[in-house]
Amino acid sequence: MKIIEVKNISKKFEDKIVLDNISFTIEEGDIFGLIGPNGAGKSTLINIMTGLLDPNNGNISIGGFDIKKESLKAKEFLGLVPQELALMETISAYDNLEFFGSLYGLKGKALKEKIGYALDITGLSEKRKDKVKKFSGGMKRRLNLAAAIMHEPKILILDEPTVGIDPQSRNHIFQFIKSINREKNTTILYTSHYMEEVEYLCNNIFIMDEGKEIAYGDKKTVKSMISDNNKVNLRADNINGDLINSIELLDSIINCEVYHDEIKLLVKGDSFKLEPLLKILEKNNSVIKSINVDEPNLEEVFLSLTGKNLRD
Amino acid sequence: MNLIQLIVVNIKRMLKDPAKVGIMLVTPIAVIFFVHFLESGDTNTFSGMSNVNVAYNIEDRGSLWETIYDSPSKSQWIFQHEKEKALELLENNEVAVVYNIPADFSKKINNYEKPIIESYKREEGNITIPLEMEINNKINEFIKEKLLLDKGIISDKEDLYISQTKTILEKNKKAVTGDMNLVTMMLIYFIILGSSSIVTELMDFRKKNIISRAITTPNKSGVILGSLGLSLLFFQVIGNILIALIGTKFTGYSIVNFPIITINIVLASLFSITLSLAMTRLFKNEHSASLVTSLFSILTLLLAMFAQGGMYQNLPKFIINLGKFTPQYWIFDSLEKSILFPNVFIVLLIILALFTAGSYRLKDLVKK
Repeated sequence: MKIIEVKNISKKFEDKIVLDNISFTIEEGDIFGLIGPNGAGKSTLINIMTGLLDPNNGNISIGGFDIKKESLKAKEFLGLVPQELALMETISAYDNLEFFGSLYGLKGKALKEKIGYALDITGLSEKRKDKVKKFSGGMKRRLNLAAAIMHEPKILILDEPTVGIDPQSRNHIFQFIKSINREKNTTILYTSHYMEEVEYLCNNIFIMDEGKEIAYGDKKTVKSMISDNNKVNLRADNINGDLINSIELLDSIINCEVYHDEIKLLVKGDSFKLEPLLKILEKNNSVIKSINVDEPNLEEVFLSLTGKNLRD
Repeated sequence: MNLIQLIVVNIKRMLKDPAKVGIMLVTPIAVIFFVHFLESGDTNTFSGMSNVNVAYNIEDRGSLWETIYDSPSKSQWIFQHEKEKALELLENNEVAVVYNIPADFSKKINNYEKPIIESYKREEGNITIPLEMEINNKINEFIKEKLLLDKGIISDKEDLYISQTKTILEKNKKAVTGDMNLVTMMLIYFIILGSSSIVTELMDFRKKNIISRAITTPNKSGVILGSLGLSLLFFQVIGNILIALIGTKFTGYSIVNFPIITINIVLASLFSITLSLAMTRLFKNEHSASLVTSLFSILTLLLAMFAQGGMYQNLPKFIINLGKFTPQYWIFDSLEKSILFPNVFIVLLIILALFTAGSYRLKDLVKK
């Protein structure tokens, strides 16, 4: 079931086009990655999806409700973790959650229970009475997350949730995302310019740059857009001309380069087998020191499709 | 979503912020006790007389100089025909002023003329003004009494002070008592001046993305903005009235017409919140908005005071007329005369004009 449908969304700020005909769908229970460098238009798209901005063209459906025409119903599905912290620093973590929980219609006993749940799940229970201004950056990020999940939304939108936080808090957030998706079937829309995060968390990916779609699909499909080939890096002793000639004769080998004790191979991803390569090495009395097979990563996909690095 | 629930949670949020509660409690309490201090303070201290050292040199050939001498000051020297000695005290800074009572002092008073008293000072200043006013009043009184007695208009000088009016107490007479009137006016001044702190709070809300986060929740913009505005209104009104009521217990002021005071505090608070919203919309920078709001509050207060007349009657007509466009003028007028109509409608119209001057869409507030 499609829980989010983004159709032909365009947005201009004065004369500058920041979103150009963006379309994608997200299935219920998916962890969907929205990737792009800073200024790609990710946050603008999130702002439109959450009703903060109106698009110039196109429409967005959340849980079957149009975000413009039936915004209150659509927003009931949403929990947003904004990129910039949205917290009141002069009051405690508990009081912040009480305030935001009320905005989601929680009250009385239910409100208290949900505050407890959100504090537990983000590891902030012990700090519930502390004022937010005393929190570290990572704790503030976790509280920012707690405020978005306490009403247990069907869709959780996380806009760059790990910017500027310590590894411990980052891992906490990753574990939380995985568990809430697995246990409550919460649909996750995760935006980041850290490719490794998206690669680790997400099943489906939308890559954008300068307001345009660059690539869209599941991880394998997106990676195959630049190549189906993999890289094999092999370190061994007794590397000689005969060995190289034998390797080059294998069907699945596209290219072979030698650097001292290292052989770098470009191989056909679907037909490459390791066994014939190992037999040739054995026959040549070469002892293998290390061997690894690399698939292209999303960073390389982005570089290949746009000609620039994600963090340029 | 429930508007009342959001108002309650906003008020709770404000109450949990010690700085806000502090400002809410401290200002009205300070106002009440400041006014009480001014009203009930030592009049001698207030007129600045008790600490003024004075010397008199009496050259008067008669005895009427004693009429001014009886107790003008606690710290004084009296010399008779010793002007040099008196001036020596002035020279040594032991007295602030030397008054020379002339030789014809008694003679002139007996002829119903005002004698001229020379004063010697080391420097210009107004510390002796109250004392000189008192001496002047005493001479005037004495001449008046003597004239009326001599002409047979009165048989005894006490006749001058017998009241010809009869006070009849009307228990249900509606009027805000003088002291409480001043307290309420000052509270209203501080409520309107407090707009700058509301501006700071609203801009802080915007800067810290609280409003943008609130927009993403399933609530209508009007409910979010309404709950914010109404919670501020309740916070200000209830806070100020409570403090005023508690304060009156300590100061002894009586509130005779409580509804008029309450309605005017509500109007002042409404104006304050509307002004804050308008400023939040106009300015991007928190400090500029806060400064302009403070200046606007002070300016409108001054204009309102000018328009009320009294000591400002000589000001150009257009300034006095301009003051009538301020809500403070109509609020103060309502308190002064203990009336509600048409003042309430005029203040509401001013608030409405300010509120409708532009868009109050929450999204626009966030975009700014």
